[in-house]
Amino acid sequence: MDTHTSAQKPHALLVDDEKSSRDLGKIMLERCGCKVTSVEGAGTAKALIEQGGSSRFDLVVSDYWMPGESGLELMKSITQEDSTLSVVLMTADGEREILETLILNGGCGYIHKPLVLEAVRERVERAIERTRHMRELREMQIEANKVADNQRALLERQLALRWPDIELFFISKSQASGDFVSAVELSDNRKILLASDGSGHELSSAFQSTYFHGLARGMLEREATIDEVFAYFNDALLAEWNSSDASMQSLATCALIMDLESKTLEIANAGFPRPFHSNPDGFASALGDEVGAPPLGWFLSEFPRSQAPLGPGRIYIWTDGLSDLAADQGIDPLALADRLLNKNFPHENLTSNAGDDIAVLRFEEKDENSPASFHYPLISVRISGDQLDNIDTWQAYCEKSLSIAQGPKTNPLLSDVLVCIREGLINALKHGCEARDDRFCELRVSRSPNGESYLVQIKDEGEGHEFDWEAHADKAAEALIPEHRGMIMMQTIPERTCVSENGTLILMEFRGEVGAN
Amino acid sequence: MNTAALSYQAGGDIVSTNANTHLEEIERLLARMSGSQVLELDLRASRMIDSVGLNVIVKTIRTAEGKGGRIRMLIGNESIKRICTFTRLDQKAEVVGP
Repeated sequence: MDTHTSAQKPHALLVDDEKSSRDLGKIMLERCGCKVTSVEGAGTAKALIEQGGSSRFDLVVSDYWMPGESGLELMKSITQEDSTLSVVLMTADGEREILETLILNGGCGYIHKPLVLEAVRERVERAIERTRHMRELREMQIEANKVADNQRALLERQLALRWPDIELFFISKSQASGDFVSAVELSDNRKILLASDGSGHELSSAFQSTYFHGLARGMLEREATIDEVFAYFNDALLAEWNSSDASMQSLATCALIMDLESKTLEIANAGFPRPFHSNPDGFASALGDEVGAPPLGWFLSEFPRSQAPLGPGRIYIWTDGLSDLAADQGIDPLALADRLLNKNFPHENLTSNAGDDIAVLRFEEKDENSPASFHYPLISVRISGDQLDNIDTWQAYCEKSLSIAQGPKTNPLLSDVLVCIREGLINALKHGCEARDDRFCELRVSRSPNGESYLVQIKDEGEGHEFDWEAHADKAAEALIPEHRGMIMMQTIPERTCVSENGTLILMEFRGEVGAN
Repeated sequence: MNTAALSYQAGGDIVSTNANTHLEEIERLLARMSGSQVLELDLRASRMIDSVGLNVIVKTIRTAEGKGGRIRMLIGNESIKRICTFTRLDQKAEVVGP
C-alpha cells in the first residue's frame, strides 16, 4: 500500500470534466502545497483509488456537476469504502439543497467556483487535517482492538488453566475492559478467586486492572496475604492520586479465599457487589458484610474479611455492570446472571443497552454427599414488612426475573408460581411481619437444571402459628368461608408444599415443562 | 351464545390491589339480580386471581345464592381453572372454559 509520511507533500486527487477548470484547480492545489493527480471523471477516479488504495490520497477535490456520475455520487462511493478520506466538492451553485445533501452525506466541505486561492487553501488544509485525524483514530482503534483480544485471551487462558470448570460471561463496553478475573492455587490447599473492576472504560483502566492481577498473583504465590495485596495496591493508587499528574483511578475488587480442607470461605471485599452462595436447592444468600471496604485507591483503609462455610452449592460473583443492568431492567441480578451464563440463549438484546462492562462467574462446590445436580438460583430478596402496598411491584419483579431466565420459551408454570409467590408474600408481610418496616421476609426462587421445575422459599421473621389447612379447606369450600384462602392455594397449587417453623417457612415446588436449558 | 341476563367483564387480573373496584361493580349487578337469574363473570381477560380476588368471587356466589340466583364463570386460562378446582369453587358455580 502506498502511504506517505508527514514529511511528504499531501496527495490530492482532483476530479473535473472540464479541462480548463481542471488545470486551474491543479495549479491552485499545488500552490497549497499538494502533490496533485488529476482525472476527468468519477469512473477514472474510482478506478485509481481501487488500484492503488485510498490511503495514497489525503484528499479528493471533485467538481459537483459532471456528466455520468456526479461529484456527490463519487463522494458517497468513496466515503463508503474509506470514511477517513476527506472529499471536498466544487460548485458554482450555492443552492441550499446541494449543501444540505453534502452535509447529510458526510461531506467535509465545498469550494465555490470560480476558485479563489485563499478559500481553496483554507478548505484544503482543513480537509487534509481531518483525513489525518481520522486515520490516527482508526489506527488507535485497531491497537485498542488488539489490546482487547489480548486481554480476553489472557483472562480465558488464565482461568482455563487454573479453574477449568468455572463458568464466565464477559462483555466490555469498549474494546478493552476494566473488569478482570484471576484464579490462584496455593500450596496449602487453598484457592483464591480474585475479581476486579477498574474505574472508567479507557484503555488505562484495562491496563491497571491487568497489572493489578499480575501483581496480586505474584504476591499471593509468594505467600503474601490478600490484605497485603490490597494494602500494597491501595497505597500505590493513593500515591498516584496524590501526585501532580493524578490519574485518579480506583479499583473495586473482591477475593474469595477457599480453604478446601477446612471447608471455609473467606471474603475480602473492597467496593465490589456482594457475591452469592446458593445451596443445592438453589436458595441463594449474599456473602460477606453488607458494607465492605471502599475501592482500592480511595482512602487509607483496613480490609476486613468475613467467613462463611464452604458448603455444597454454587458461588456467584459479578461486577457492578450486572447489578446496574438488572436494576435498570427491574429484575433480580441472579436471574440475569443465570440468563447470561446460559449459552443456549442469545444475550445481545439484553446487554446492548448495558452502561458498563459486565463480568459474571459461577462455579460449583461439591462434596461426597452432594446430589447429582443443584438447582440454579433466580431470585433472592429481603423485603420489609411495610411493602405490602407494593405487592404488584414485587410480583412484576418476580415475573420479569423468571421470564428473563427462561429465555424466549413460554412458561406454562409462570401463573401458578406467581400467584403462590404473591400469596406467600402477602401472608409473610401481613401476618409474619405485621406490616412493620423493621421486620423482613426473604423470598428465594430457583429452577432445576433442566428448567422443568421451580422451588420457592418464603421465610418471615414472625412467630407463626399452627394451622390445619386441610380441615379449614373443607369448611371453606362447603360454607364459602373466605379466610385463609391464600393458604389453601399455596397448599394445593404446587406439586409439593412444606410448611415448617410454625408456619414461618414455606417451601413450594412446581413441576412442568419449562425447558430453560 | 351469551344467554346470561347479567354479565360482568373483568378487564384484567382480580388481585388484592384492585379487588374492591371489581367488587363494587359486581355488587351493582347483584343489586339488580332477581329470582333464578344467572350472573356471568367473564374472567377471560384475567391471567391471575389471588386469594383476595377469590374472596370477591366467593362473596358474589354467596350473595347470588341468597337471592336464589346462580353464577357462571367464563375462564380463559388453565391456572385460574385449577385454582377454582382446588378451592372447590367449581362446585358452587358453573365454570366454563378454557
